[in-house]
Amino acid sequence: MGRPRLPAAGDLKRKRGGEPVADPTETIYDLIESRGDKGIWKGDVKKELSSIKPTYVDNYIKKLLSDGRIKEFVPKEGPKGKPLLVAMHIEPAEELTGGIWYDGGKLDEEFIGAINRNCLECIKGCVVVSAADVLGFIKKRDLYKVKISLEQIKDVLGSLVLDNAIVECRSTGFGEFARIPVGTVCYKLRRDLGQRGGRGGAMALIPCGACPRINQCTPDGAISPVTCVYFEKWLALEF
Amino acid sequence: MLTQNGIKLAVYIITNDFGKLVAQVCECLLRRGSLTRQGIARFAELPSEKVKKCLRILIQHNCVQAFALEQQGCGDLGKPPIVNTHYMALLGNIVQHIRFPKFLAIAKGELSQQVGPTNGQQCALLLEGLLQHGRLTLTQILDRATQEDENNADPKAVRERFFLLVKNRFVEHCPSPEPHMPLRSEDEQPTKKRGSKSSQMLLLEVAMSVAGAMLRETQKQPMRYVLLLLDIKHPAQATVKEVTLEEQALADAMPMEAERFSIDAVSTADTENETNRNGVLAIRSGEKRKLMEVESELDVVFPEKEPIWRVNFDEFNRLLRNKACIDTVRTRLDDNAAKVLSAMLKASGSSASAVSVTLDAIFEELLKSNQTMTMTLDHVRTILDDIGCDSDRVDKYNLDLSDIIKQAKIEEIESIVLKRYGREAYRIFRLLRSNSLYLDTDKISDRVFIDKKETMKILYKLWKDNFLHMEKVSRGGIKDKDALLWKVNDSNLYYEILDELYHVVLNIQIRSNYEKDQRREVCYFPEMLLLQISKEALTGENKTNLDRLRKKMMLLVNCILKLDDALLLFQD
Repeated sequence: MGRPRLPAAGDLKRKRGGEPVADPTETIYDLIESRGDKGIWKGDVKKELSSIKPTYVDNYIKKLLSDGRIKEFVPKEGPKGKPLLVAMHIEPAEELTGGIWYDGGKLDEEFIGAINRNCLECIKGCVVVSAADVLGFIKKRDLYKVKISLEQIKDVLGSLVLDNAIVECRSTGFGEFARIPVGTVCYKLRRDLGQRGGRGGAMALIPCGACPRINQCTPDGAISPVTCVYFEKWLALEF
Repeated sequence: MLTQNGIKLAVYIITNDFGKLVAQVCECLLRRGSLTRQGIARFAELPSEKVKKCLRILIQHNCVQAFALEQQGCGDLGKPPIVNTHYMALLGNIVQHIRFPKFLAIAKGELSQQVGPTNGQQCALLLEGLLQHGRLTLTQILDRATQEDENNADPKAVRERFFLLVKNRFVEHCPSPEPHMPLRSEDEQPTKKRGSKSSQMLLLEVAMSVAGAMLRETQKQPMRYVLLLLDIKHPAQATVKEVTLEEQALADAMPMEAERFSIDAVSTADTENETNRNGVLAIRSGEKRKLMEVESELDVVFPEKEPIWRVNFDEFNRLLRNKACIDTVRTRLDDNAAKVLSAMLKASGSSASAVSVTLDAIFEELLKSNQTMTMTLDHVRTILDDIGCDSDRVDKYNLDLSDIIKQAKIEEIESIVLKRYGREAYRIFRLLRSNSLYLDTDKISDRVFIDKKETMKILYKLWKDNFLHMEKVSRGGIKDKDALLWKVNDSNLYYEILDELYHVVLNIQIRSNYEKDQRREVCYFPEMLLLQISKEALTGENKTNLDRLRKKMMLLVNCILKLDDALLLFQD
């Protein structure tokens, strides 16, 4: 049994006369276009156009996709992998797609990692840089198809500061800041880059600092410093 | 700050040093607060005589302070008030026992610079005696020096070394054995200050009248009443600080600054015929009655003419705190910044957390410590700005060390988050720490480039372990879920970390004692005794075992010293 034939526009004419029924494909397209850059779920299309059978709606949507009149995109939030529909000539909203940092609804860690490495390379080469310097460095390299904005570079540099890989400061106009206007936010590498992520506190030196059972540990209990397996492994590893 | 693990650590230290019985009395005081001797005997379930002996040991080693509390008698109001001696345990002083090796190293280092390495070493030996015995008179110190090393026991030389310790404020007079806490009457009003009234004076008067009113209220609870003190840094920001009975007793016990490091009483107490001279008696006349009271309570015999000395923990803690600040600045900036801060602290010489020094004094100190210095005045000015100093006058710089200490505390907490929860949690924690306001989950996820679901998991873990505070805010719409807002849990976080530090130090202490016991078994195993072999003559597997054990001990001791550095910051 083959696929049911899509009713053509003429088939839906009322037999007794009156105005012709609108082309369902166009109705669906108009609905999708009306949602602008926010897009619409397939399920919501079916709900809105309850007069059309759901199976027919699926087929009309497939036709619109194959004709290139609409496109799908996976938002960064929402049911896993389920796409939203948007008109082809409309760019989906960045707050839904996640911007250049998301690919198919998932965080593009590879791309972010690559941008991080480029930023660190730029800072290593120039000692002290501003966000504009880093953007210029990346544009010059011309490594990426997507257009990266200054704000997006600032976001990446901000995350590197949070990672404690670089330090944020303001230009004084003197010394190493001579070429950067006074008051501009700048970035430079941390002195102790070998200890990235903090200089290593006292608690971090011993197993108790990371122990998931610290709250159950007591001097005389089943978990104690004398019986602790983490302590044994740590002391055995050291020697 | 008293925490559960702090109490366990203190009890462990006392058990190791003085035995279980003394530890039982100490634990009773730490858990129940200040008690009379009868109260201790009741709660610790010990005979009164044993409690007395234990209290003597604890007082001798500065772990307990007595105070006489005046209380309204029961029944007829016409009866005079009753005076009872209460005892309170001093957690801070007990935990200082971990720092004794550092105190000796500091004293040796500082004094060697002043009087040469040999004399410095001898001074450190005198200090060691005070650390071992808690409190000693000069006579006892001299006797001990004679017994320890007859070659270096010239009394005059020993006295000079002792005076050097006093001059550097490494030793101090012991506090009053039993300060008197009087009962305040309802009619008693605070006195007003004369002279022109500044805004500070007006605020002081207002606060004192409030204090008087509150005292009248708190008379209903005689065992524990509070005094209100003004903590004025800026008149517009005066805060009222509550002082407990125990804190007031400690403050009253402390001798005045001039008396605390006075060596005049020491030198005159040694001369003959000094009992006839009023005013040069080493012990104040008013104190003699108190000493007799303590004598009768605990049967302690106080030497009449000689003051009693003890190690001044405050000075050593101040030097250790300064060192911690210098290390923090060295890590954050560079070695030059560390040198400038060190010079600033030496030039100031103040024990307060706020330091104010002129640029000339800093530069002079820099030249003294480093003859080949190449830093210019401008460079020093830039470094002082980087450190965080502000100058209200040309070339005079002010620095609040509490800012640097806070920075060091935050770094310690961040390193715990990194080690325990991973790099992503570290990034999230640093983001929240840098924001004083609440942030919602979406914003956090965007700023740190972590998937939202993963962000939620990490935030929940941090919240469960009290690192973060969470607020639920309704978005208003029926379909919309509540928004979750997150913030670093400032109010409790330092307390939690301090408690964890105590816990970890206790663990390391227990483990190192366990390893010591293991080492004893290796050192004294039967074959050795049979064959009369010394440790050095061990071979093969036994030698390897002994070496391994020795290295383990060194590692554990190093860990304790580093943990103690962090403990000092959080106890501040």
